[in-house]
Amino acid sequence: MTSHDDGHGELGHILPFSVYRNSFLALIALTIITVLISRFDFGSFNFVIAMLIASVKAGIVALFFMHLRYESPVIWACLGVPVILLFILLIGLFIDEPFRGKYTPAVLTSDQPKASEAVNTPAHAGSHSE
Amino acid sequence: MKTEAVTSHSSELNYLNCDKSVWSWVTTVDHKRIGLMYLFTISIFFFIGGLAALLMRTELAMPGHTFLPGDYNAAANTYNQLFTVHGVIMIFLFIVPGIPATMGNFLLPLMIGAKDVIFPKLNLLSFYIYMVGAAMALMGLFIKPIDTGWTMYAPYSIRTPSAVIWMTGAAFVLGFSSILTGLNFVATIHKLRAPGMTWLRLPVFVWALYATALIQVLATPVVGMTLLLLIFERVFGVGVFDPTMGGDPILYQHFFWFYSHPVVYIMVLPAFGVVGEIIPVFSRKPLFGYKAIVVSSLAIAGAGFVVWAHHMFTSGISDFSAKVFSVVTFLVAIPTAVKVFNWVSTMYKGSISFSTPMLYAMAFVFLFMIAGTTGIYLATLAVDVYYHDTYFVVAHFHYTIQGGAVIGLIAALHYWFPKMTGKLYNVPIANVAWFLIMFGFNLTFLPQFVLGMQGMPRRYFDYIPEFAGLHMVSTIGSYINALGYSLALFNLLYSAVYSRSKAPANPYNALGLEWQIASPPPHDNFHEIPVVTHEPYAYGKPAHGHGGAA
Amino acid sequence: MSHPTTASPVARLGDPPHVHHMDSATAYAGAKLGLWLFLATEVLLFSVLFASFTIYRSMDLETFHKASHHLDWRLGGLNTIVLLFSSFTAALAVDAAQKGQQSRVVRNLFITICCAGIFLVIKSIEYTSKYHHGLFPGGEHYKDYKSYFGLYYVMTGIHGLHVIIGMGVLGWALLLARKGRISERYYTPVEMGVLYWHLVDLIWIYLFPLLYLVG
Repeated sequence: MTSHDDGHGELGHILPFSVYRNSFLALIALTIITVLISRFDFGSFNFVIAMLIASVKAGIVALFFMHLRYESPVIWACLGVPVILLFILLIGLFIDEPFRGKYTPAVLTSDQPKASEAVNTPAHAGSHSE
Repeated sequence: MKTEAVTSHSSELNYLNCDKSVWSWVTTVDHKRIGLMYLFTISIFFFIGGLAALLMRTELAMPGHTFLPGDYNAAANTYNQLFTVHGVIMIFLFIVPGIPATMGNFLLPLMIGAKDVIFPKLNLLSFYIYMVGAAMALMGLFIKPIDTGWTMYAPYSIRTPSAVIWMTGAAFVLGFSSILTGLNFVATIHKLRAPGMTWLRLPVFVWALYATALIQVLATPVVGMTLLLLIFERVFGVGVFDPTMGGDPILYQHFFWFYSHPVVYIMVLPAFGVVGEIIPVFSRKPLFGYKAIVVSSLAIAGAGFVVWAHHMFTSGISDFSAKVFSVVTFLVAIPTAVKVFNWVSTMYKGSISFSTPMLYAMAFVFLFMIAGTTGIYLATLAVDVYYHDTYFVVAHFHYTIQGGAVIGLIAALHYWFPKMTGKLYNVPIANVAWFLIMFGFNLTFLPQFVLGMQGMPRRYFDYIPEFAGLHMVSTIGSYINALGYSLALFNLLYSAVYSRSKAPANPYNALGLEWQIASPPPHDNFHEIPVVTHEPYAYGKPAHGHGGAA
Repeated sequence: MSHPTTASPVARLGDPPHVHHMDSATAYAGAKLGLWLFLATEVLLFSVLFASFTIYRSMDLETFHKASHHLDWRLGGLNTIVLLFSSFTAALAVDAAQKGQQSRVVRNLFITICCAGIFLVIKSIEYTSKYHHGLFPGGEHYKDYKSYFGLYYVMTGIHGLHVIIGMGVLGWALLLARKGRISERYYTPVEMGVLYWHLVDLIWIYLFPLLYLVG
C-alpha cells in the first residue's frame, strides 16, 4: 500500500488497523518459526538463520510499528548507520581473534645471531585455535 | 537584508546584561550563556591538567628520581597517577567538550540564523551532566587517583586498588553530555536553518560541527558501554575482559579505541572549521574549494571509524588485521591533506593581514602538517612496531591535539572575542602570547620526536642518562608553553572584564550571519530571522558592500 | 522554515506547547529526529554487548552451547510474545492519538505498561532460578561457563533497565493523555515514548534467539 492511500493526519501518516494487526500476526508467526527451526541442527547456520529471521521481525517493527516506511532518508540513516557501524566493529573483531597465530621469538644468545636465525615469522594464520 | 544594530552601547540590552542575576545564569537556556559557562569550566580544567603536565615535566627534567615525594617506587607510582590525571582531565574534561561545547554552542544558532538550538533545555542538561561528571572525576582524584593511564586497559584496570570506578563512572557520565550535545547540534542543523540557508551555503564551521556531532552521537555510546562493562568487571567479575575467566583484554582495547580514534576527530574537526573561517577573512579571498572542504569533513568523520586498531599494532592482534588497519589508516590522511591544500590555496594571492586569529590559524596549518606527517610514520605498521609506546607517539598526538585542537580553540576565542564580549582584547599582548606558545610548544615536543626515535619509552618516570639533554630542553619548553597559554587566556579574561573598548558588530568586515548582529548579540539573536541569498565566502568579489548579506 | 507562526486565536487544551524559537511543526519534526538520533545511540550501546557475545561465542561454541541450556526458552519465548504484543498496543496508542481518541490512547498505553510489568516478572523468575542454580556472580557454577553468564546478566540487565525506563516514559505519556493534553494536533510525547518502546522490543527480538536459541 502506498503512503498516500492512507489517511493523512495533520502530523503524520495514519495507517489502517489491518497494517498493525497483520504486522503483529506476522511477528508471532516468525517467532514460532524461529523457535521451531532452532530445534533442527544446521550447524553454524543456526546462528545465521536465527539472526536473519530476527532481522525480518525487526524490519516489520521498524517499518510499520515505527512508521519508518514513511519517514525521510535522514531517519532511515539513524537506524542504518549504527547497524553499519556494528558490522564494521564485528569485522574488526573477526579479522583479529580467529587469525591470531603463535609466534616464537628466537632466543638471542650472547653470540652474534646469524642472519638466518632472525626472529621466526608467526605460524600460518587460522590454522591454530587457542 | 538590512544589517541589524551595528553599534553596541552598554545601555542596549544584550545576552549578558539582559538579566544579571545568578539564578538567571544557573537556569539559562540561552545557548550563548551556556557556551560561556562551558568555556569558563573547561578553562579551569585546562589549567589543572596543565599543572599535572608541568609536574611531570619537572620530574622528567633530569634522570633519576628528581622531586616527587616518597621513595623511588612511591615516586614512580605518583608519576603514573600524574600522567593518568593529565590525560583524563585534558581529554574528557577539556578537549572533547572543547570547541563544540564552547564556540559551537555560542555560534551555531547565530551562523545558521536561528534563535537558539533546537533543544535548549537539553543543552542546559548537557552542561549539568558535564558538571556532574567533572565532580565525579575530581572525587576520584582526591580519593585515590588512578594509575592506569587514561586508556584504563584491562586487566590492570580490573585489579588496581585505585578509584577506577569513580573515574570510569565520570567518563561515562561525561559521555552522556557529549552525546546530548551532538544530538542537539545534528537536529538543529537539520531543522533550524534560516530561509535560504541551504546546506551548501553553510559556513564550514557549521559543517565541521555537524561532522563532529555525528561522531559524538555514534562513537560515544560504544565507549560508554565499554566503561560500564569495566565497572561491572570490577564489581561483579563479569569475565568479559579478564583473562582468568577466559576473557580477552584485547577486546577491551578494540572497544575502547573504536571510540577513542573517532574522538580525536571530535577534537580536531571543529578546529579545522575555525581555521576555515579565519583564513578567508584575513586573506580577503573566498575559501578555496568549499565543496571539497565539506566532503572532506564528512569523509574524515566516516573514515575515522574504520582505523581504530592502529592503536593496537603491538598488543597481540593478528598480523592480518594489523596489515588491514595500516592500509586503511593511510587513507584517512587524504581528506585532511585536501583541507590543508585548500587553506593554503585560499591564502595564495590573497591580501593577508596578520591579525592574532590569523597568526593562530597559520600556526595551526604548520603544526598540523607536522602532526599529520608523523601520523603517517605511525600508520606504517613496520615503523610503528618500533615507535609504539615511545615518545614519538607522545609528540605526534600532542602536535595533533595541542598544535591542532587547542590552537584552534585559542584562535576561535580571539576571532570571536569581539562578538562574545562586545570588546577588543589587547593585541600586542595577544601576539606575544602567541609567540611564547609557538616557541614553547615546539621546544617541548620537537625533541620528543627525536627521543622517541632513540627509544625513550612513554609513561616512564625515569630514563637512561643519554636522554637527559633533550628532556631538559623539553621541560624548559613546557614552562614557556605554559607561560604563553596563561598570558593568552589572562589577556582575554582581563580584556573581557576590564577593557573599556567597544567592538563594532563586524570588526573584520566578515560575511556570515553572526557578524550582521550586534556585539554582544541580543538575547534572542535575531529580531527577525534573516533570509540568506548568497554564498558564505564571497570576499574580494565585486558588488560586495560592508559585509551585508544582500 | 523556522518562522514562528502566529498563535491560534483561541488556545485549547491539547494544543502544542509554545516555544519561542520555532513553530510547532518544526518542533514536532525536530523532536522526531532527536528521538531517532537517540535510538541510534542505543543501538550502538547494545552493539558492544552483541559484538562481545558473538566473538566469544565463536571462539568457544561448546561452552556457550552448554551454558544456554540453563536458559528456559519457553520463558524467553513467552517474554518475546509479551513484548511483541506490547509493541502492538503501543503502536495502536499512537494511532489513537493521531485520531484524537483520548480514552483509546490511555487504554493502549496502560496495556503496554502492564505487559512491560509482566516481562519484568518473568525476568525475575528467571533470575531467581539462576540464583538457585549457583549461576549468579559468585555462585559456584558461575565461572564454569567463562563469560557467558556475565554477558547474559549484563545484556538482559541493561535491557531490563530500559524496560523500566520505558514504563516510566510511557506512564508519563499516559498521564498527559489523561489530562487531555494529547490531541490529534499534539501527540509528540506519546509518539516519542512509543518509538523508544519499540526499540526496547527490537533489542529483545535479537536477544531472544541469541541467548536462548542458538546459545
